[in-house]
Amino acid sequence: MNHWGVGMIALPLAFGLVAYLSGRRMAGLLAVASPLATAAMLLGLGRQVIQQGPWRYAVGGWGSPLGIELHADGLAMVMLIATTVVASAVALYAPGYFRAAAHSKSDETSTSFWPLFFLLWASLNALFLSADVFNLYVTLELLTLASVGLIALAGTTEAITAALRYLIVGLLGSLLYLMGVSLLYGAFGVLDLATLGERLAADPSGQMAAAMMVAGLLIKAALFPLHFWLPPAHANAPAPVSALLSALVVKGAFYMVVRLWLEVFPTATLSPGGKLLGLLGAGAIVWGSIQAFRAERLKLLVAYSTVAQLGYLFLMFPLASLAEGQRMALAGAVCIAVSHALPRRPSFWRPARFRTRQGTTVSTG
Amino acid sequence: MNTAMIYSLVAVALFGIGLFGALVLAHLVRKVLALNVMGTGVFMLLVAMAHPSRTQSAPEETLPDPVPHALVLTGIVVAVSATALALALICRLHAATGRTTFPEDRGEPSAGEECSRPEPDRERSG
Repeated sequence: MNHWGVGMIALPLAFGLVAYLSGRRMAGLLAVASPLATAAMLLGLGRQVIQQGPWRYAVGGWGSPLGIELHADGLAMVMLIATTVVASAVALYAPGYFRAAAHSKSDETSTSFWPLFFLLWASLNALFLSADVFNLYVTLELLTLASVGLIALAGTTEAITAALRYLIVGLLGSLLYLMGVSLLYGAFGVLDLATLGERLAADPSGQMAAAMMVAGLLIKAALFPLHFWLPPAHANAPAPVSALLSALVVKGAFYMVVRLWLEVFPTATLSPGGKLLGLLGAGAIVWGSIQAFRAERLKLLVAYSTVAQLGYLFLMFPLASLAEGQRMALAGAVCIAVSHALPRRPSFWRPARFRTRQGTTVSTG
Repeated sequence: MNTAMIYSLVAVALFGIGLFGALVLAHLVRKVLALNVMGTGVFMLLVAMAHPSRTQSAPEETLPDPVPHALVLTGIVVAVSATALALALICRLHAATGRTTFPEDRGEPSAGEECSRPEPDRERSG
């Protein structure tokens, strides 16, 4: 069967719809059923990719450029596996979290959590399976909207401010990215990643598009110095949401930069930019670590450590400009991305447990 | 200078105006409006990319390229949804605090430093 990838996008959406219609009644059932079902789809897709090579699928039978195509290769599969593992763990953890927090928070947080969570999961899967630059934009926007809703769940003033800040800054980044997409389409007439890679030459329109798209995505990926929205958003969101944001959402934007870097733009356009990204990544490591030392709340400490880890990811780009280093640089970055995603869940859960017992997360040490 | 070129220049000007507004203006609703102006700039550029005068054959006879039109429609849908969400959040913020600016735009401690102070007493009693 050829539709595993479609199932990976459609299933979480279907679960989200069920969650929205049924309120909190079916939360426990969904929490167990969704990881199993999505993992089944993932296994099917993985087997197909291993046996038959990269999977390409035209949604609705319409091929590009007018239709949307889905594409699964090795990089997409790794990100999908990380997404499924982290999202499944969050789905299994969340009911217990909301039950424990129910006496201090309003009940609506749990009801609104599940539809938004499944929308986030579906848009992440769609992002990693996208094959053209415009579909990447749409799924990135879906991701942002779902994340904003999830951050604002707690209902406190700080949470709403953090969510609003992320939304406005995120929209700015998306519009920069979309401007780059328009320039690419105007200059080269295609949106498909592979075809763009063939057609692109090192000319000014390509350079301008590259600059705008990467700049927009850097805002979303919270690379220093554009990381300012990240610590308050992660610190003020509920623990399952912080885990999702830190582990997956910023990796979505990073994945897009990787795709653009490796598949679309020629190396001549990118090498000076690669050095700049490496410099900013180094700055992120240093600044994030300093701020993490200074932080007085546990969740804020973890948020700043995320900023630092994202800096490591962006060190890949100057290395990728070297011809022989590219494969290793990519492998290294993906390893860091995945290994950062997986422990992020517990590192937000410990402060949550700490808080519900003691009433505050200010560290006394 | 043909029609597509005029549209493109206006589009870029709109984009720049919107970008300036989104960064500089303090009032949140004005920021959202500036982001919408930016979006209009991008959509206008896409429409200019679709203009038949950009193809080499006789411009009066060819039809506009449909792909950018589809992109613009999708973009408008996304922009409207995001604007609605932003305005809803601004309303919530205003109802809770009576303010319509970010703390850092008011001169108060920026977001990260504000959160590093201990939380107020309502958390401790929970």
